[in-house]
Amino acid sequence: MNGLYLQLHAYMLRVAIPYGTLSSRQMRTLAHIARAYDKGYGHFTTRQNIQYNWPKLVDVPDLLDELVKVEMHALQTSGNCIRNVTADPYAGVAAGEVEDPRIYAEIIRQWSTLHPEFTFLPRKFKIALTGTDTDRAAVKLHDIGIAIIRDENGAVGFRIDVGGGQGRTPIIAETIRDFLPKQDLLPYLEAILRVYNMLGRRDNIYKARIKILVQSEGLERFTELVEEEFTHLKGGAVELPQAELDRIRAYFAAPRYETLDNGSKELESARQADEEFAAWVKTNVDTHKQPGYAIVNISLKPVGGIPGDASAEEMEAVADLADRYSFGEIRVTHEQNLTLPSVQQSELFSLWLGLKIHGLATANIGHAGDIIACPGLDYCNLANARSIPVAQAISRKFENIRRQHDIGRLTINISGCINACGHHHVGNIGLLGVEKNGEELYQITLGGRADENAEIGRIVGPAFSYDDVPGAVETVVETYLQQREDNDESFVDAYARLGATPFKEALYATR
Amino acid sequence: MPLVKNGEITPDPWTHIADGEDAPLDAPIIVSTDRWNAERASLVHRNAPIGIRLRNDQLPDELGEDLYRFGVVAIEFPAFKDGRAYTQARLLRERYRFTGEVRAFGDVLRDQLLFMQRCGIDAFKIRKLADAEAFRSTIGEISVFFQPAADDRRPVTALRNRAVASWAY
Amino acid sequence: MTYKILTANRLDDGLVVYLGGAGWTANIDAAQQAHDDNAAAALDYRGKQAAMRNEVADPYLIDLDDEQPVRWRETIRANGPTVRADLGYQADKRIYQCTDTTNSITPSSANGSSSFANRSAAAWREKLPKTNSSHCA
Repeated sequence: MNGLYLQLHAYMLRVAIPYGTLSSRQMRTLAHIARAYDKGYGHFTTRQNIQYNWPKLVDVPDLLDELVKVEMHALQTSGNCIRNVTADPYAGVAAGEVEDPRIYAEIIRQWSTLHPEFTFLPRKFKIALTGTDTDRAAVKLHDIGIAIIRDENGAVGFRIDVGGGQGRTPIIAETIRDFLPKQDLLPYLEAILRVYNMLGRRDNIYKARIKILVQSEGLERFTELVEEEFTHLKGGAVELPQAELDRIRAYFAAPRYETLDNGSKELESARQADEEFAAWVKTNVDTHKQPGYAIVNISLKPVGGIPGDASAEEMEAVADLADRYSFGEIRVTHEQNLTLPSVQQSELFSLWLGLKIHGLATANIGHAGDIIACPGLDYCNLANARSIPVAQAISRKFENIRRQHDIGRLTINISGCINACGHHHVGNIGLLGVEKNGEELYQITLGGRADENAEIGRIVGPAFSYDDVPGAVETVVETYLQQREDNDESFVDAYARLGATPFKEALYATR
Repeated sequence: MPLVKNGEITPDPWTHIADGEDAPLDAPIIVSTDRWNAERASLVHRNAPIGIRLRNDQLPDELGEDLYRFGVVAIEFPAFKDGRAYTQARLLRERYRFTGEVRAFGDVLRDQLLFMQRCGIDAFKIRKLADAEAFRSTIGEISVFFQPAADDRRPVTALRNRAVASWAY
Repeated sequence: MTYKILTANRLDDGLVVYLGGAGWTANIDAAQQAHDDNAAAALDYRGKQAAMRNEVADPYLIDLDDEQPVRWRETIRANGPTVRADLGYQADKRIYQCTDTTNSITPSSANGSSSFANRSAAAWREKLPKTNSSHCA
């Protein structure tokens, strides 16, 4: 459970980035570690962590010491324990947020750190939180998903979902509790974990996640078991007193925003003047809850690049820009990108220029070029096929930003094996790499969604070869463009309306 | 296999009796739940202490009130990765307020001793002698804890609040 | 002609190694070949002993055919990530000296048809030079 894996070429160390939140100081340390202990780069993962691919075992103690200096570690990023608690990368700044999910992510992080009862679970355990209706944390695809909501009296509490997950058996989580009062959070989680610890399967690692237990017991019976255990734990020692909740909340207090009007003349004139900048604003900039501010996404998916990889220089550039433009704060998203959570609208153009110098201004967030790919057979011991070069080839096909913007929102996810670390099950277009007779083949799924309307994608037909699959993805997109109702109908909505038939026909007609 | 209790290697007064094995009448023995259920009438009338051995898929509530007759509850770690006994231990201490000995046996290794102790296990049949000898230092390796468990260590949240409370005076 | 060799990862740095006559080597061409079951068992035994001595982790036998690994995965292990010609043993071997380097900073410019990354496994195996000579493909 110390985050060190032996992979194909070398060790891999996974460093925890709790709920994807980093200070510029921490980012500089990650850059330093990439240089001093690795080969000059790191990889940001689909669980908001960072991975180093080449540390030497003998260097790991020194590496960990360097992390400790900036309050970081690699605890519980492997093993059958509670892993990194992830959250909405827009936590604390999203419009319409009920409460900042990082507060509760931190509470859960502390409670789950070296928890003596839950360190040897049947399998790994992943928890995610969202504080808004729009789910940017994929809570429905986690072992426990938590949504911060209000009840009919306006009291803040949680919707608790359980038993979601991908891998061999993708399942959307079911709601076990519609509303859980705040103070009951940790006792309720203990109840779920305890039931799982005792009853989860331990005979077969592919049937050991909590989703299997929820399915085999049935939600009703599973809920009974949890609620029964909860009656013993409610109000007990693990319940957090209000003082502690308030103390932790204070850590996530808003930065000293300036009082500004919304909208900015500088921003508007820059958009008019520069088409490239305007395109970037359209895809990479999101609405902030504070007037005059914006949320900026930094794409780590340059055309033909390795998704989620960042060099030490890029990490330092982001740290500097964060200091200059975003109160020194950075977020890591589960789509392998970075976010600067609070940038003044009037400074967006300067920031964009700063990002451009370092190749960090690709205007593709949430679009065809923003491909999510696991390390795959280029790095990973578990993989059957490569995912990165497939991502690169697809990225090159959709190189043209105007074309990407015309296509509109589209998620493409690639996994190199059934463990689904690329989250291909929930990609609008998902690719699963398999191996057959020494060749890499890719199974295409369509219609997946990772948001509040979570859906598992469906296999469209026989797999495609490594050479053919980029073209096949292009065919799928072309089919959508031909058949969409209008420019506003997204790929995933068009697929829901049309079904698989037109895509099957286009892909397989000539075969 | 050395037994560690109260931080030290100590002679083991208890004998594990397998099902079907003859049970000495006047020595402390640990039997399985199957044996207890089958021979309860005679076992209850023994003069010597009796202990119970749980399989790690059993819950303590199976024992009912009989739990409090036992001088020891032995819980198993069939492989160190099988963490069910941690839950059994906590339930024994926190739910059922069992005050007898809770002992761990099986794949009991150094890296897990502190977790076991925090869950309320107070006796350890440790696989390797070197691990048994290192018990005290192992237990002392970590001094700050984030969550309450079955031990009497106060988690950091309680310590903070106590500190705050004391400033108020 | 297929035969077996033994591979593992070195414990201290995790790098790929092969069991040669005299010890562990990073050079797959210097691995000791086993052409029958007895020889393979002997390699396997030596690997297990080395693992017990904490010299290597995870030793296992792999198949080679005409000096190339049968499994694509082992070809990748022998050379490095196909998407970073500058990393892994391939960077030292300089087999891909002439190809464009695909890395995360520079967007792809050339068609990259000669690079490791863009080839399917079969196409790559076909074009791979059989020996470690440093010439351009």
